[in-house]
Amino acid sequence: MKIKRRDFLKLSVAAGAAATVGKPALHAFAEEAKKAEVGELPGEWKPSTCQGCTTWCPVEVFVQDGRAVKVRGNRHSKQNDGFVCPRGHLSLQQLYDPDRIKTPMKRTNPKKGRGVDPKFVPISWDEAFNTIADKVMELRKAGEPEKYLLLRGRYTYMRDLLYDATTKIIGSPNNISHSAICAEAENFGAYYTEGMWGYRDYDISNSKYLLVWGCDPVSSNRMIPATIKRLGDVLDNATVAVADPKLNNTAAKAQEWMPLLPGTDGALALAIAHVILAEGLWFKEFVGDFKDGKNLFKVGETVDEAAFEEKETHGVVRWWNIAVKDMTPAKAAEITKVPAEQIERVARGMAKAAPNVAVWMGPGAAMQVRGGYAAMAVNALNGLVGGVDNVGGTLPSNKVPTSKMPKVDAYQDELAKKQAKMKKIDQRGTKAIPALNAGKSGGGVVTNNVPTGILNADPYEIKVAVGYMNNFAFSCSGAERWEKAMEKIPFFVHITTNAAEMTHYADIVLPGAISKYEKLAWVKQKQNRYAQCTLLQPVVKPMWDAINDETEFPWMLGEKLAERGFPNLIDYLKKEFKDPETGKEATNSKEFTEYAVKFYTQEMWNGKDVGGDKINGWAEFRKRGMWNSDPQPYKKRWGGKFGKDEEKDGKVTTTGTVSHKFEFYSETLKKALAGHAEKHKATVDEILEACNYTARGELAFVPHYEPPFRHGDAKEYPFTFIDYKSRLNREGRSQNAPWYYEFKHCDPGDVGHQDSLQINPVDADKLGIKDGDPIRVTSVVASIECVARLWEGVRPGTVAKAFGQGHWAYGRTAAKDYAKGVPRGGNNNTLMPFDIERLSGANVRNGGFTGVKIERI
Amino acid sequence: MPTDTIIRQGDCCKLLAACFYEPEKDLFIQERLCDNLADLLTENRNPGAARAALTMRSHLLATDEETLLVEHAGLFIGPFELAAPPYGSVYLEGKRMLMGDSTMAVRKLYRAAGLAPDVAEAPDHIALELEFMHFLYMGEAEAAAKGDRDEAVAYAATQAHFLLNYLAPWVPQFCNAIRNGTAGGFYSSLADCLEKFIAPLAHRHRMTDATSKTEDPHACGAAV
Repeated sequence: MKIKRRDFLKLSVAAGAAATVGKPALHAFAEEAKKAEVGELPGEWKPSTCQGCTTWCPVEVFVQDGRAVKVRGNRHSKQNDGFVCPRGHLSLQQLYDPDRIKTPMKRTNPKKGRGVDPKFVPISWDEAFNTIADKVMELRKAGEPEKYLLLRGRYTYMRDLLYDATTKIIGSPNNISHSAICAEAENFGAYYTEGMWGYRDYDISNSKYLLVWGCDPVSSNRMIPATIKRLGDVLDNATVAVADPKLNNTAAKAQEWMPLLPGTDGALALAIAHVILAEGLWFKEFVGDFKDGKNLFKVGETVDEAAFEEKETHGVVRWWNIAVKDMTPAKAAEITKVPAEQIERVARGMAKAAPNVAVWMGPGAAMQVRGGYAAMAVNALNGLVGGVDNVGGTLPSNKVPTSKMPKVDAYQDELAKKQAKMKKIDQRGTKAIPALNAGKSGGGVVTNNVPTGILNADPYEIKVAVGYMNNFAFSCSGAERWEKAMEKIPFFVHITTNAAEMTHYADIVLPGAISKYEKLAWVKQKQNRYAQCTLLQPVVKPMWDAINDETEFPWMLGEKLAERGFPNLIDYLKKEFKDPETGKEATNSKEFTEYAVKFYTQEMWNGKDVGGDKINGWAEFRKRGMWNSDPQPYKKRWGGKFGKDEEKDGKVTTTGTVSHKFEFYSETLKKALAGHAEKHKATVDEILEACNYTARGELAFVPHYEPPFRHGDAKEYPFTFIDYKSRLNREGRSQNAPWYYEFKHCDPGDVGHQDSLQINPVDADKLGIKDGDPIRVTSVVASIECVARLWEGVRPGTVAKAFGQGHWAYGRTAAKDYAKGVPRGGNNNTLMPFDIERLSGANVRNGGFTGVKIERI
Repeated sequence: MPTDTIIRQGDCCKLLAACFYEPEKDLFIQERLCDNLADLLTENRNPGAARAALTMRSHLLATDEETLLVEHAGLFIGPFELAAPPYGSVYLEGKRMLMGDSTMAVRKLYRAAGLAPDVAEAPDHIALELEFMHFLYMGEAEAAAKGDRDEAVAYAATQAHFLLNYLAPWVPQFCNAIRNGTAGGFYSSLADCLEKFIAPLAHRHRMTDATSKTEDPHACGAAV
């Protein structure tokens, strides 16, 4: 706060003139007409959206006297039925966190590094944006706008404006999202089997068998409150099995828990497939059958492809021949340590329940060094049992009818057009990083490879960077590489709610809104067969002068660039986002935000019939806070619609699978790999070698087992480290909330107020470690300190730890000693080395890729 | 208590409030902020607080503005350290969370006085609470000057209630946090000054409460 007026420092009327004292001049106050007393007004439930995880729950916040006090699910939601999970409540402590960024600030100490005090001081918004605009204009004047970098973290769908349009209009190709640290390898598995680069919806209310793989849907993933509400019924009406190296909440309740060794997911999935095929149990209406009805799948034997007639699928026999025939339950049991009898029981149970089966694949099955094929193998099971697009199975999303971002071409000058086409800093599409998003070489982001690009100035150096709602120096494995990279960027702007590890390297810090309570925006998501569009709304007045990162930042920057002779950005924002109702151009950042949200969502409230909820006007949409689609129809892609070809200007483009079927033999991946190999004048085998995969030849095109890759030899680093997500993680943003520590015991095996490494008692006994002992955990790259928790929920030889603690910044509660850079607990991403699943570009955090040793301290 | 004394108390509150805003060295010096504070405290028989104000003055003169800004941010704004959160609820409710019930109670008192915060800050920010005290003192002085004894007593009663329940209880902890969060200097002396200013006020009000309804709530005499 700045002093508003000099007279605030003046003394009041002099003694002796007391008779004319008068009312004091107010400074931080204004007169207020007498209203109801605080506490007397009834309060109101106001709709918004929770972004504590990617469920993106439509919620309602109870607000009384301007204070948010309680959260529940939006009463109109067909996704969460009016409920939220613990994260929903935890967010109140984010909103009212005294450690939040309160004002724009600038670094006064030019030296950057951990333990170096940046000496931030408050500045005005004007000074902040003048400085930022000057830096951007310097790049443009030097003809090098590509050296501008936008690092996007958690987002709303207003992301287009900051992430996409602003970057392109400035003239940089470097709009880098966080997506690859989320679960791109999981999407890879779905795309190269069923042609959908996206997360699946799960119709668990109608499932007769639910196989949860590598996640804990009551804790994380994308339909948490819905699952919390339904899991009890599912356990009554269906069989629930869990494949996860750690006993999670769902596993604790499930009928089957398969604690496979980390990274052996592919073997387990193939063995289940093996049983289903060898015993003739596949769902024939989806997969088809042998022409003469006789099952020819025999252990170890090759089958003639011509003998089988497929229906909705492609390549089941070839898959058997290449990868499945030899993966018997006995063999898989050796690899995975899951008993053969259990594998058989699960496979038969699934087949019996077919097609009402959902295999719920989470990141644990995919975000591995060689996880691309494991993800395909796990998702292939959905095909074998016919659960794809089926009752009780997995579903794609219904369409949410939103407007597309208006084209920026007319607002890009020649320089911007040229430089925005340059190679990106994350090195996507290079020989060893195919990042084959949706079939395209270099089609996907490789978030965690950005430090490689920055540190090596390859393809060039980065001079100006802007980051928002992210903290890659904490949330990416090999986190310290990010610290080094951030140190190297000469000018970094961080828009954030809390001073995170990344903020420590910022030159300018801007206070960002807490999205659930202070931001106007929209997101879309799907659950329980219903897609949703839900608004984030400012349900309370921002605590401080926080801005909407995705809309107000571009607007404010646009104004300043215009002052410097570059009006292109502000022109684009004004002209392309007029109020859809009045046609007016925005005159300030707040108006612009509202017009832009209206622009994107208008079809759901402007009277057009787009299906789903009927909403009469913008005011009603804001009051309801959300729109539900009609239910997703079943079997929508059956009948050869898992892919389609479109011809334009003589060129055929395929969306989805190349065969248009569900692929067990992935023609789609074959085409993508061939395209990437050709680009680099290499063979597919050479590409796979460069990508650290062992497959050669035809194996490259089918879901198969790849032996897990591990950093650290078993002798020196005898334990395999398992990273998992706490049900209190609001991604990486809840660790400054005291409730996070108070309620940490709600994660199975964990203890409140403690950062625990879960160790099997048998192992602990050998090491002489007791429950509660302080320990040091060391990998090939780093050591962290935490506390031993003896627990049978991890098998001997493996240890597990929740991601979340170990901040050395982020606030007084989150960090132990910021000034000295001492973390509270240990960050898993410090311990886990940098690595990526190269075919998808995904950051690696699962699959047993980190070997560790443990010492008592 | 004489009206002049009440006004001086009010001005002490105002000047102390000003010290918690972003420091503007030239402005503080030009307006004789520390000297005025010391004079007021001396006249109101609080030599301990007055000495602290003079020490503030020496530090102010000897410290460049950027250093003051960095220290002020580290103590009261962040973004990283926030060594001394300037919010009542953090101390009164012990949850390191803003907008607690105590904050709402403070806002209720503001509203009863016809005031609403007009800055982007929590209502129980130290600068707002001290300015509110200033407002109450000035109200009391004005009522006294007009000869409206009832209104003067009412203002004094609100002061006592506000001070004893919502300000004085967290000032010692807050001041300790300031002293622990800075290596001496202007803000450390400010903490001394604030603490020495509030302690006797609270003491007097408590005594007034205990002896019940004395005619003049400020009448209990000398400073500590």
